[in-house]
Amino acid sequence: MKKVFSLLLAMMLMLTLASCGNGAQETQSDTTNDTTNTTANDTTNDTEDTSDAGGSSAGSYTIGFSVYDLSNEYFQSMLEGVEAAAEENGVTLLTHDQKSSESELVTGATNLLNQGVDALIVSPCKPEVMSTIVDLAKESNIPVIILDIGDGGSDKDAIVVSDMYGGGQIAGKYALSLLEADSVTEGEFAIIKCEESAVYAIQRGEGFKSIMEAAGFTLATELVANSDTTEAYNAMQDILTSYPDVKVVFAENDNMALGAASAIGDAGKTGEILVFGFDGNESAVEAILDGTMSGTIAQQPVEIGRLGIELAIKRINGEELEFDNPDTREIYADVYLIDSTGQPNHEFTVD
Amino acid sequence: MEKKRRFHIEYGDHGILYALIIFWLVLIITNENFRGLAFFQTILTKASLNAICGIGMTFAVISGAFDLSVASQVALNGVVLTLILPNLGTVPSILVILLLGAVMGTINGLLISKLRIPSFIATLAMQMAYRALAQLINSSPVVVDNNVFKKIATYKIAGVIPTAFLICIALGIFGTIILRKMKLGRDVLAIGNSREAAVISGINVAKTEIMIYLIVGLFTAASSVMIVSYLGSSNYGMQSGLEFTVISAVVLGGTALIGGKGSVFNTIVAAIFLISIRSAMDSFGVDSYWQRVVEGIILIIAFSITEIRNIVNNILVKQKARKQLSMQKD
Repeated sequence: MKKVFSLLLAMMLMLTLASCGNGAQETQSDTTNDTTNTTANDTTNDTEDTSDAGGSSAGSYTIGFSVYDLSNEYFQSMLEGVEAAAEENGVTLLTHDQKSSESELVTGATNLLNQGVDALIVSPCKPEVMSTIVDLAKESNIPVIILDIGDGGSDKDAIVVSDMYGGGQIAGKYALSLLEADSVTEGEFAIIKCEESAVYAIQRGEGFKSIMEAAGFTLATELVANSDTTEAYNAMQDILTSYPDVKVVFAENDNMALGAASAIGDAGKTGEILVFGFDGNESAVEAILDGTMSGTIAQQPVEIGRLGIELAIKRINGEELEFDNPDTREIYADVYLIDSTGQPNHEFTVD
Repeated sequence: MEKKRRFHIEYGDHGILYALIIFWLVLIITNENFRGLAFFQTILTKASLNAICGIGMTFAVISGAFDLSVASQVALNGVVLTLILPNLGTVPSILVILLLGAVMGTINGLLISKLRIPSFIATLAMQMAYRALAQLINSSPVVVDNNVFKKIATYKIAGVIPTAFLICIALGIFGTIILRKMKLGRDVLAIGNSREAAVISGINVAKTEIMIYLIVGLFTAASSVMIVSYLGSSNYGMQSGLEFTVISAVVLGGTALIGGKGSVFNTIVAAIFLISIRSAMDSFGVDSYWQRVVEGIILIIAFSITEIRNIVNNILVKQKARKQLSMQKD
């Protein structure tokens, strides 16, 4: 009875596995052509890769990509960028979804390394785990490129992040142009900040501040709202009562910008105070079209993904990388403005 | 006949072990990636982390309850561990964590046995409390900078056997001894079979229940040490959802959710089985959405496995009875 049962169980699982494999390939070939090619590469890799021990000598590389969570739109776009760049460069891509779990991240990355990848690209769900993974990769001299999120203090080869400071500057320049149209040339502005530990988000505010202060505006206050809409609503209410002369508010992410915008709306001051966010979320674009927000800065996950593959190939070839910030090995991906019409606007750029 | 029956009761049946062996064989035959030692080392290491926690959970499930707070216990243990590790050193820190685990387990046990809160509610409440406590103690992630400690879960003896797996087997033997050879183990089984009968037969049910959650706490603490060593870091949000992975391993291992029977080693094998499936799906390049579907199906199979077993068993018993009847007629 036991044997019958175990056989049944094993067969059932194999069947589910097999049918899922097929299902996945079908859906992929349905949607786009380039993903089919990656799938084809994957299957050839399964059968041939280990026989020529990594396959790096033949000039075609295998690169592993471990992604934060594919149920999130942002990371789907990032994967698109990675897949497209991998195909253009003839790279065999092995992907792994961390599903937002840190143990999955370590296990998946270890598995990728075991499969003999030539480089590892990770967009980590928990950055602090990265030092463990980088140590593991260094044992076999595999370069590690981190995409977005953070490096957790690890000794990675490079980290690609959106140009946060530049994005803040773009928002600042656009704010100035809108104020100028209303012939406002001086006054106060406020910044609503993410949590203190979010090092990249803080650079957004710094970039905005640099432009506004250079143009003669004064910083009324900087309040921390921990990336949270409700906290930003409360912070904005405080700003409205304590600093009635504030003309512009910059929130370090869109969720907080939405909170600030509704506080302004509830005070009946929509249109009198300009609100800017960061991220380019759909809800923020809707708010811009409603007129409660004036603009947001959009990130380009596809571009970040592309850069990941390009940098990984450079590192495999032993090339040195050009860092935007050599101390932290940061490389910046461009961001762009979504202006008050809700459309991308490329007029405003980083200096 | 008598002998075979005793064998059955003492060690549980080995269905899940056969399933694992067949599954591995199929993998080795069909996928090149599985022919290396490294894959099995990764699987065994990762599975051991869940399995160690599962050993404790087996006791809770045998008694007819479960502990939903284990993931949060891991988070609290982990956060405290990374705070004290640089000051106290490896061994004292581990002892402190085991003590902390015992305390958390005892609190759960007291809530359930003395205040008579259903285990589902009590451990769900403590799940929130322990995680919030972890956040209060340290809300920012910590990276472990102690190489000796990091080796606990990642070292491979003679480059082959992962220490994590050895520790898991050792703890598994320890758990089996408690369950099979000690009075406590028999009391746990008795409570699982029938709480009323256990009370009537003079078993100190309240004390046993506290002991059950104390055991869960201790094994969860051991698991926390291994997990922090494996990840090389901690944060208060870590390992959310671990309780379901662990409970599904226990149940897939044949421990009935209604209690009364179970085997520690089958839990370990089932944990390895679950991780093998995940790694296999990654290796076969199964689309990550389909992976989630498969994980859902596995969870359903795991939780309905007792019933599936019963149905198969019934059919077999009936067939046997018919055969015997027809033979008697002849």
